[in-house]
Amino acid sequence: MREIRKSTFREIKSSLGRFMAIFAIIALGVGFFAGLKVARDAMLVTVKDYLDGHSFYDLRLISTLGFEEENVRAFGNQEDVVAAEGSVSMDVIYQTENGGQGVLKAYSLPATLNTVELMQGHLPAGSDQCVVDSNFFDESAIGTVIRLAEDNEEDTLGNFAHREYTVVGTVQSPLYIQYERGSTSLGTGRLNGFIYLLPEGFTLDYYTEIYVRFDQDNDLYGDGYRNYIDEKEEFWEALTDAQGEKRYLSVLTKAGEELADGERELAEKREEGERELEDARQELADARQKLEEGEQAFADARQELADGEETLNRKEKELAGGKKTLDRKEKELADGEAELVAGQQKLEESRSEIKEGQTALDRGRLELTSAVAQLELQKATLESEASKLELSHKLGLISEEDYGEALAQIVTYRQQIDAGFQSLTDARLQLDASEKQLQDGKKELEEGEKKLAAAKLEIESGKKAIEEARKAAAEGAVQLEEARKELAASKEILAEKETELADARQEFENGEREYEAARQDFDEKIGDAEEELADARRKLAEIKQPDTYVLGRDTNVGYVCLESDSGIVDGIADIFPVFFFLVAAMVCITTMNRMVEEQRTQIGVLKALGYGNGAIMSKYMIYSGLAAVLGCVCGFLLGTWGFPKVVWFGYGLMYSTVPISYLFDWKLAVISMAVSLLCSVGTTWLSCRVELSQVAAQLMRPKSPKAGKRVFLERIPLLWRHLSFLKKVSVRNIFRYKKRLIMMVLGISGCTALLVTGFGIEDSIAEVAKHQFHEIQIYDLGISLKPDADPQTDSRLDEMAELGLEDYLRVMETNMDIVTEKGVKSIYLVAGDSERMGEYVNMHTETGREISYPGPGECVVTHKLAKQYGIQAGDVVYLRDGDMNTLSAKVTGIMENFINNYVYISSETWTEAFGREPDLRMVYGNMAGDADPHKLSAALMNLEDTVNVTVNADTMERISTMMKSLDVIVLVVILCAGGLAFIVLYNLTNINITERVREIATVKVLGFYKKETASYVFRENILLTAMGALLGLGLGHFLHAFVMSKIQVDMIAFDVRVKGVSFLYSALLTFVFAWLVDKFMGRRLEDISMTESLKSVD
Amino acid sequence: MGSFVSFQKVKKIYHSGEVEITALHDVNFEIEKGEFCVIVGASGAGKTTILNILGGMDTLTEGQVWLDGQEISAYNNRQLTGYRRYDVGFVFQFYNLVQNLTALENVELAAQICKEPLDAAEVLEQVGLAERMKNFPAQLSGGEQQRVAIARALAKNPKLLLCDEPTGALDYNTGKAVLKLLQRTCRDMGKTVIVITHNQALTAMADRIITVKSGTVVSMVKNENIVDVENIEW
Repeated sequence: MREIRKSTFREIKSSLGRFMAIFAIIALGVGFFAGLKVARDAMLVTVKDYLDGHSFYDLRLISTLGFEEENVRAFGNQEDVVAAEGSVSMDVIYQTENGGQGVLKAYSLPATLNTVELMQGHLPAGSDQCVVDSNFFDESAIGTVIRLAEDNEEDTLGNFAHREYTVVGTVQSPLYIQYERGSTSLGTGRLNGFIYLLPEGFTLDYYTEIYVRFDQDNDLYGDGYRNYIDEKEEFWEALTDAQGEKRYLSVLTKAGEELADGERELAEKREEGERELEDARQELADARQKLEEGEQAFADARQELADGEETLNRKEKELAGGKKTLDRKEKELADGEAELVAGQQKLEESRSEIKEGQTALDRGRLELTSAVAQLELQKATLESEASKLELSHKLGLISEEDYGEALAQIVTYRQQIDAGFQSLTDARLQLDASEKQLQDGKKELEEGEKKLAAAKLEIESGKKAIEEARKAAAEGAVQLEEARKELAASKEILAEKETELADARQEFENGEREYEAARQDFDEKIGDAEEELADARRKLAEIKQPDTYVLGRDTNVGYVCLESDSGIVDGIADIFPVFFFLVAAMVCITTMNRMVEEQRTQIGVLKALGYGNGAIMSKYMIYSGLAAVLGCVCGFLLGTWGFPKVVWFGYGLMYSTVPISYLFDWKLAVISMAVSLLCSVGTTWLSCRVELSQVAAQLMRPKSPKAGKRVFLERIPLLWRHLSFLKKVSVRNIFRYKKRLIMMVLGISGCTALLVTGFGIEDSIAEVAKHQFHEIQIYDLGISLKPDADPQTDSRLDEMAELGLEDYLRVMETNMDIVTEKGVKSIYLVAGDSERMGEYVNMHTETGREISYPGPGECVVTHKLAKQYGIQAGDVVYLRDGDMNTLSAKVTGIMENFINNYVYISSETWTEAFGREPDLRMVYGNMAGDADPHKLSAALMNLEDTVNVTVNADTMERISTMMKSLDVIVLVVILCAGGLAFIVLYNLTNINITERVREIATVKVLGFYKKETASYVFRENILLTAMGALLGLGLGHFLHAFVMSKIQVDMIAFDVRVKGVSFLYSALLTFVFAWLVDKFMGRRLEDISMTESLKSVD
Repeated sequence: MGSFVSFQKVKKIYHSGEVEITALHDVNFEIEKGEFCVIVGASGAGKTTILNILGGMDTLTEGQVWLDGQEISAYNNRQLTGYRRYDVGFVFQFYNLVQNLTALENVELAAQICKEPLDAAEVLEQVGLAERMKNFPAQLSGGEQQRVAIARALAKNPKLLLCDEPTGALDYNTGKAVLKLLQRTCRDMGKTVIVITHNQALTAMADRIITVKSGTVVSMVKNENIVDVENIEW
């Protein structure tokens, strides 16, 4: 036995290719099977761990009035509750430092539930710090400031403690395990991310919601969990309602108390204020009186002073007048004195004049006597001379003329002496007059002297009187001076008094103004306070009983998406591996068959030597078993490790970046091992059994080569004759080994089918959203309104035209159950105006034929629904609402539809059935081509009656992105298909070549060139590949359909189809794989030595 | 160099790992055109190596091999393939027919790659298999298979017919018939036929007898006394 074992291991070494083929196909099959099988579980386990690790909530309780700590406690005390935690969340528009703007959902940082995972930085330490969404912000955001935009509503801003928050870290939140962040009524209508603040970062005094976590450990999405929550639901709804009521009462009480407090305070304040004002007024009046008195006193003093001054002035004037008189008198006196002096002087002068006159008189008298004598002589001389001349003239001695002259001259002289005598007589007369005058002067002088003496006496007495008067005046002046001084002092005092008085008046006026201001202020404040109170009163009246909601995990987008996403993987995992195992089994069977055949002689020898069947068989069993076990272990480990990783990577673009946990599933491992062994050892046993049943001698003889046979093609001479000779050879070769043919064709067709399916999955899913929103629901926006919306809504919507709402239609979209024989299914019932519906929903069958909108009593159902429940056109369907009211309608058409299930009816049908008009709460809107859908949706969101706005383009985008992750799966499928093709082709070609070494060597010896030899062998491969691919395309079509039927996503009907180009790609890829194998095996061909042809058949 | 086939100082060394095995050394012989030559020698004497070299299936280490004025020993791989294709016809000990092809097709397999092939059916007729043309090898007896093999070699219209133990797997009578066919081929068609065998008895029918021993030619004799196949006994 040891030798057999040794021989086994040598065998492995020498035929490593064959060993590896079995190993690889088993590894591939197991890897694919186990990997895909475990992928969903691994994903779910990972996510569950993550969610549990962060204490993900089970219920989210909302009340429109919020909750308070007491409610939280009440919830926390319920059975099964691990924790209940109040939380604040609200949407807010923000700005970053570099001017970016968007909308964030701000949460209060939780302590126990939905705890965040810190990615970078640290958690906030102060109320003005925050941590942000690591999906939207990167590390560079740390340290920057997020500012709440001014665009926010006043109320919103009021709920935040600060306007700016410093980013201190980035986090992931279990509330967002997927990339989708949801929508908002703010800004562009889309949330950019979330942000966590410390509870102190909000100023809200209540919680907007409460999260509750139960003590349960059910699998994610399992029925166990669903049932668990379903059981709780009713109780919790009632409880939440009750707590909502409590909160309502508490709010009411608190508000009432506050109001009363406010009123009381106001009254107090008012009284106090008024009292204070009154006091002030009193004070002010007193001040005024005092001021007035002061002013009076001042005026009196001023008058007195003025009087005194006047008297003084008069006295002064009098004094001045007296002085003037005195001065005049003095002057008169002085004048008199001067006159006196002048009179004396004159007297003196007169005396001397008199004297001089006497003297002159005496002297004149003398001179006169002398002058008379002289003149007498002169007269005597002249007579003598005149006598002489007469004689001389008588004598004639002197000429007549001279005579005449001398006579004239004597005459003149005579006259002159006569005149002289005359003047002397005058002078005597004058002298006599002067003598007399002098006598008069002497008398006058004597009289003057008397008078002067009298005047002198008089002046003397006047002088004495003046002296006395002057003395009295001087005394008066001194008195007056003193009086004036006194007056000046009084004046100064008065001036001082005046400033004082002015100050007092200023002060008083200020006081008055202050009082006025205070009064106004008081009035204003009181007014405000009153208004506030009125407001509060009104608000109190407006507080309504809150609506409460109990929301489960199924309202968390990330949580829901993961379910449908992971479901897709599971669907694929159900079918593909079967293929792989099938092929694996065939690979093993042919390989082992060949091996046993090859070693026929050896088996014969061993048998001849006396080894038992079991011992001989054990070699092959061990050989294939070892390959299978190794392959199974490798494949299992690699598959269960790698596949979830790859799938996770694909979804990792959407889900939080937690590394997927490795899940070792024992059950799966055992199944894998069992199937592997069955495929390998089982098939080996089958192969060996046939050979071993023969006797040793028979075995030692070479097995007669398999006879050539004509193939059916030869019976079609038309075809056969047109084949070139070598092709004929290939064709015959192909059909020579049926088992191999079947396996090869199956393997290759499997590969092609996988490729078709892989591409097809993408074709079917990737464009579902596009079809839905481009071809069926062609409206652009869905606006849901509040129940019984304001009749004004229509005109408000009309106004939206300027923002691009081109056209809209109000319909009713409501949830109803469709009741069929095969079951009850929740659907959306749409009732609307049958005339205009075509512009918003394009109804057509799957083949593209138009369906007209149903009339009264008719309906159109969507195709997935129809298929699932066997509804056909012409059937009557029953729809039932929550209150068990039913509506029946005849199906007039089955329309193509991919997302959700709808039944369309006309409004009349509804009215007829229920006797009331449908509440057209849903608005389908079409936008103008250039309108910004987000602006429009934000504007619509702000309308009074709007509950929600969905932009179909966004939904489409979101679904498309989700589907993108399928690319990874498709890639995996393609790679596996490639691996499968490679192993199958390699293995078969390998067998083919080893089996035909002699033939190939012979052909070579016959002089076939390299290429000819290769084509001689590989033409078969190509032909088989072509056959396999062709079969595979057909098979792929069905496999794809089957896989798609397995991938059940409740809401989505896939567009089950494979594009032509996908078929082409699949076929091409198959050929590429085949070509690669041929290239690889070409080397083997070359290595075949021609001397093989000389060897004997063994 | 007048000879049709000429081996000159041919040496062949096989390398097997570290071991060198000298299969041939100092092999010199000539064969004239149209001769029926038998190369005879014991197992391991080196006759198969000579066949391989002459058939263009193997290269040699030293020396020259000429055929019809062409130095085969200087050919590269592709030329060798061409040489096998156009100049040499092989008859194998185990026939080496393609099981999957009928007798006719087996002949055609060779014929269709040649420049001036003979008509396959005619050749088969000549070897006496007109009736069995449509049969698969498995349906033919050993002798018939060998005749198909000969027909296949002949259909190529080669310059040289190389036969490796053509009777090795056949019974006595059949072997004789095959040898007869070969001889007739040589005589009637003027082909140069080289038969490699360990059977000394066959030398009697040859024009030229080349004896190989221990990797070298020990004698090359022109047979003056040719015996008809019918009269050979072994």
